[in-house]
Amino acid sequence: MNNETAKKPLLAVRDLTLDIATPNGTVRILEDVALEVHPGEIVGIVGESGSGKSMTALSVLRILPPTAKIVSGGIDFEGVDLATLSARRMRSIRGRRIAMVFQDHMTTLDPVITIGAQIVEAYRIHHPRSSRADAHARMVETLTQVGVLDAVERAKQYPHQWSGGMRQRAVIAMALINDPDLIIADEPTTALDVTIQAEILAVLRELRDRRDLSILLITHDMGVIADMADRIVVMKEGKIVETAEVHALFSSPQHPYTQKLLDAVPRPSAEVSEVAQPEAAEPAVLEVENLVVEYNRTWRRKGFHAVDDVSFSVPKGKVVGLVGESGSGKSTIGKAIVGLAPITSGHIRVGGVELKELRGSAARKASETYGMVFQDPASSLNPRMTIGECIGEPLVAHRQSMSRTARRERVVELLEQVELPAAWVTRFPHELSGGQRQRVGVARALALEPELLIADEPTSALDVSVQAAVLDVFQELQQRLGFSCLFISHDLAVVELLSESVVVLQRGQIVEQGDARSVLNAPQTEYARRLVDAAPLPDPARQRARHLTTITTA
Amino acid sequence: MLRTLVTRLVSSVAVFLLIAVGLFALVRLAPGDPIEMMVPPEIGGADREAYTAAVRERFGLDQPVVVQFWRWLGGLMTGDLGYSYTNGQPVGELLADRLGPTALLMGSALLIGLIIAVPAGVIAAVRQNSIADYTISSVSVIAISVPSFFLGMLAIYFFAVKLQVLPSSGMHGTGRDDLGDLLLHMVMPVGLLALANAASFIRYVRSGVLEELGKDYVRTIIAKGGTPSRALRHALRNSLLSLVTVLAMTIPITLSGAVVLEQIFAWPGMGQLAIYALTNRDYPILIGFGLYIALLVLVCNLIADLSYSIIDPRVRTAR
Repeated sequence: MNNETAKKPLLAVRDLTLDIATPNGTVRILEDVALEVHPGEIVGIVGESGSGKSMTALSVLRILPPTAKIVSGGIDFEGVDLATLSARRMRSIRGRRIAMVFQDHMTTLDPVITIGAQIVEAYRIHHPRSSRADAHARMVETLTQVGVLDAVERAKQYPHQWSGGMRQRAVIAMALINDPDLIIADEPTTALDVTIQAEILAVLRELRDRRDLSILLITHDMGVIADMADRIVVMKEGKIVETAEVHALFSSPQHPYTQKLLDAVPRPSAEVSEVAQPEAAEPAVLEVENLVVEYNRTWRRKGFHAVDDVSFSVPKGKVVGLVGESGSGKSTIGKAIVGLAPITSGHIRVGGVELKELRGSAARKASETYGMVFQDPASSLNPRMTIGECIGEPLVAHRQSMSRTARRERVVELLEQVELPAAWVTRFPHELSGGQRQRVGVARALALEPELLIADEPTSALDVSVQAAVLDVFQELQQRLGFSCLFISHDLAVVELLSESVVVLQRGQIVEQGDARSVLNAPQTEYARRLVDAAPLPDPARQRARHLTTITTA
Repeated sequence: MLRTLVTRLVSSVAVFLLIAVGLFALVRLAPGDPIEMMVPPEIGGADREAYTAAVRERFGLDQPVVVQFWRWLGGLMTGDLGYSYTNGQPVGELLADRLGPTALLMGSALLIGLIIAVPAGVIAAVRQNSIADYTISSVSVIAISVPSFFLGMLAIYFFAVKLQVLPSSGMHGTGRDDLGDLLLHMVMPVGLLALANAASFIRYVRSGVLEELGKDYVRTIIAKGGTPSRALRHALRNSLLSLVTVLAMTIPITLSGAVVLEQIFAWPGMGQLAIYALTNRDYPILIGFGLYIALLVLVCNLIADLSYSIIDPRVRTAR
């Protein structure tokens, strides 16, 4: 594919500059963005949120917000400038020659129309004279091509009846049905589990190989980009900072920002470390014993076991990672510990105290021993409370005797611990960035000096470089304060970075547990191995070598 | 689905019975004695007491309240709502006579309101912040805020008194029974009620369509190469789902507007009957009217809930 670069590009974005009008004046969103996509090539755009990567994609199809305006530059598609094309001719290109795959599979499909009808619609917009039967046959064929089994029956279903991975296949089928030359995929796998992400990426890769399709792939995930792209464009604050061939970019990044981005990616270590000695009988801070959490149980019907007979413990001062895909029950375990999920049977002991048996003030007293950091820092802080009030609230609830000044001092101390300026106590959450908000979340969880911290995907909503900074603070605090932590995450690299041991869950049951390094580098069970293999490595050479081995072993 | 239907039906019946008990109690607690009004004022002294006692006995009002309630409930079960205190006619019959005109008034007003509101709401949403949007939105605000009796009197003044093109009251002209005459009588009351309905529906349609137009699937349709009107069709279909619920909930509210308009235009419907009963302390009619409203609300809510689970595939196909 690479020797084709000499040929004329399929798509050429020429020095595109884009403004968006806001009530506070115009904001420059893109500045002199230039990139090319050749036939059969996968070009990746990487960058953090706000870098303009999605805006670049939307400008190619001209589905920009009405306040956006192309100031200068152009978009050449096979020699035609899309920026100045009439609305009518633009429509004949959208979905026909250039198709789009959006990120959020939950919302990109019309909820009240069957999947089949929506794919048929995509075909008939561009083939108005085609017969119904014809369009239907094509729809079934395309769905089958992207790996949907029993497409005839499944096409009669509505989007909510399909799983996330399946819906994303439907969106890809919708993009493919008119046999386009270019597909723009905007974070196509971000909302999916790793194993499903691997399947979707394989579908895209195969399509490129079979149909000589070009793909413009937008992502923030360095692993995905290493896995997929031939060439990579790095964007920052609306500008392109570096364009390079994939191997060159990963082995010798030229721009400092690219370097920073690559450094921020948590990397799974390559080698298996010697198995750590089993800890000398340290008392466990958290003991979970035969935990069962069952939902929807009725007197005549067995309920759904979200957590099914799970036992593990978190030793004092240690970090234990809890990993698994969505629906594996990892968050439910966290919720059960803090009393937000019903314990059907089994035991949870924090600091040797059985939580289930506590009532009233004793239960409140016990809740001082654990703190919780939630996934979404934007919605887990009360928007009407200042940072100081948010962090101080646990103190108000549990240390009624504490004086106002003592409380204020403690809040300031906590802010400093998470490396935020003490002056920020009077700020409101919306004035902070995502990473800063999550630091506030950590500070709040630590306010009562808990023995145990439960962190439920604390960094999965953050950009990589921000994630790296938050994880640094977290790691340092953990070592200094010595609290124990149950770290719930779907990101194996993050878990390996932070935790000594790891518990792998699948459908509510433990499939493997042990020392983090050995489990994640040499998994013993089939499921754990699949999970580890599915996570793309941020290293193009190693990641692509993996495909070869999976092909040869398959 | 069937299970939902059964539980909803059972709970609706229970609510209806509770309302019946409440109505019965409330009316007994109200001050004033209807019997006093039935006794001619020229009868005085001991005669008056004897006369009053006789009337009480005739209506069964000499019995303890519990007995009265028990008899009334028994009657209710067999569809017997008792007899009017003032003219002795069966309440059920009185209500049934009035049902037709009211249904005609409300039904046509609802239909016309919808016919106005859906296109107007869509235009206001699609041309957001344009002159068309501002005009539609302000007219609907005015129609909501100006009381219907005021608009009714204005309409009578202009169309009946000044221009003399429309009849000012009733359902039929004297001695006439043809459709044209009925339609002519309907113009003002139906028009005003339809306007009030349309005014509130427009706001639902506008905000519903606007909300749907901002959703991702609309962008998907544009990205597929669809025209803006195709995208609008999808958005409209989604927003009308929620309008059905709003519609079913609005019907009982429309009734209150109808009561006022019926009075102004002397429309021989339920509302007029209710006001007559109120001013004459005719308890059986009042209770009957109350039960009728309760039934209407319950049935409409039931329809709102069930229609949603029929037309929305997300509810319909959920297990």
